Amino acid sequence: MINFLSILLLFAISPLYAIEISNNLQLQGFLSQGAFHTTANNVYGKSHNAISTQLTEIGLNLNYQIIDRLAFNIQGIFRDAGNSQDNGLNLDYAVLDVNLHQSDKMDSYFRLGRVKNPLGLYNETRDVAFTTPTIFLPSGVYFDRSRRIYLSSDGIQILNHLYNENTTWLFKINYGLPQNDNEEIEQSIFGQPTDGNLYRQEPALIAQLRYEYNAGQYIAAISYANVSLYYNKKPSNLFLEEGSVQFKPWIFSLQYNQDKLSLTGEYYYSPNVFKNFGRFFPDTSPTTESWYLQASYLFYPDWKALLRYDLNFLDKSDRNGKKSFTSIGQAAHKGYSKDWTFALRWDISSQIMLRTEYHIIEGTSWISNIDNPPGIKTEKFWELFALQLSLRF
Amino acid sequence: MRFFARVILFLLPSSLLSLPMMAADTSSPPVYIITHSSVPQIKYSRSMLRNIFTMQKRYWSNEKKIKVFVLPDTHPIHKQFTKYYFGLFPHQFRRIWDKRTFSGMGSSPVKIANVDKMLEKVSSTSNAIGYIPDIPKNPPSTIRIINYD
Repeated sequence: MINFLSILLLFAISPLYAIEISNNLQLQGFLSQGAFHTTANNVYGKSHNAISTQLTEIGLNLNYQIIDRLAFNIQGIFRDAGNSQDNGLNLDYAVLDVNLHQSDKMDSYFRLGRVKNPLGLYNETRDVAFTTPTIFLPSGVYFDRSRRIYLSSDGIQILNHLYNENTTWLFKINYGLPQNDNEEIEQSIFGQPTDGNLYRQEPALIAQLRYEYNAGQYIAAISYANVSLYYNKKPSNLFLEEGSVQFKPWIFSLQYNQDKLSLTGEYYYSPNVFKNFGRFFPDTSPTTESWYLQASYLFYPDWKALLRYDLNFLDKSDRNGKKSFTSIGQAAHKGYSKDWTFALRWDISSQIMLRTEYHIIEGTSWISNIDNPPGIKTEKFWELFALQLSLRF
Repeated sequence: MRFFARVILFLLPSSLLSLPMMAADTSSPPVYIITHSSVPQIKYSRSMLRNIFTMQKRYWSNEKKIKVFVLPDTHPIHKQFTKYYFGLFPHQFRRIWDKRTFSGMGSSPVKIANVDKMLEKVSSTSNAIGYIPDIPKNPPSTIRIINYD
């Protein structure tokens, strides 16, 4: 905490921004610290009857223009998020970026390496506090439990910009291996930790088509992913077979940005297949459905208020969770979430941001299995308070 | 349906009004876009300039990397610049730049403390673009005022 305060002081007195190391090398970074309290259930460590400070994110990135039309971008993120499986330092992206074509009508790029996945409006920068509307992203669209598989791909990206008078069409297609460390998904499937693990085996296809009017005054986007993971079991485990999971989400996004008012809506529709896990885990293909509506207003220079309603159903044919969860002796409220969010953000300077939010929640479909281990009762109705300070240069 | 139509009618005029009026404006602009003399001296459309300053467009037509210089978000000239040319506000540009740089899509514009330094940087950096409120009496020989329509 002392270190954090001294860093804060450093930011306050030295207005650094995007350090130019040389004419073709640029360095940028950020640091965020969160604090959480819940009236029931845990987020980011132990927040029930306590204050958890287990959300620290520190990122550093380099942009290097190697030669004309060839650049290299790399970012590392240190993350400490509750008891999550990807705590520690991770390579967020590392991309060799080749410009294939440029004109005043079209730009095309071929990108190679670890690329961020364009899903919805926020996935590509979900760990960078300055770029997200709230500390908790709408949980039904940006599931924290599946963050690892959707975060980035190791492979290639084709990127195309088509420019018109006031509009830009952007097309991104990623083809590459998703990330490992999907313990949260594993626990969601089996209801508890197992001695095996889910691993990536084949490349995922992730694509987005995006329309922007006047630099994002209006944004419309369609995103699609097709991602599979395979289960690797210990030979001694007689209850499980080496099955697989497949997620095929579609995300439809709309956003309107005026000077002060911003309206956002996203709809998430994901057919999922869980198969070949053996007779104790019969094959199942639920479709997850989520949507949210969000309004934010800059009511005073640098002060923004936000209101959001966010809905999620793990299985849209079982909206109260009874069929899926009551039948296996678990609480039905694990099958859905309804979340009202009230948030306030203060941009103290262009480099320091403080924000807070309050959630009134029914259901626990998105909470971490690791922070809420099996055997500990979860509550259907709960409230969540969060505070976050973020610095950047 | 009527509700949505009303919402659209409510939203639409404000967005159209906020589009820059420079095409019809024959008086001198409050801010001049300047480039280094190495930048191709062609006619730039407003949409091209927008793509350049949002960092979406990264290379000039001669394939050199575009070097964008901007004043601080709170600087009055920066506010005038974003409003006059693009009908946008500094915080809207900031959001676009952040999203691009922190997702590995490119670099940020380089922030320049004041107008004097802006003139100095653009005049001394190949492939650079920036803006200033007035053209000095004896501008550096490497400065060009951008030709746009």
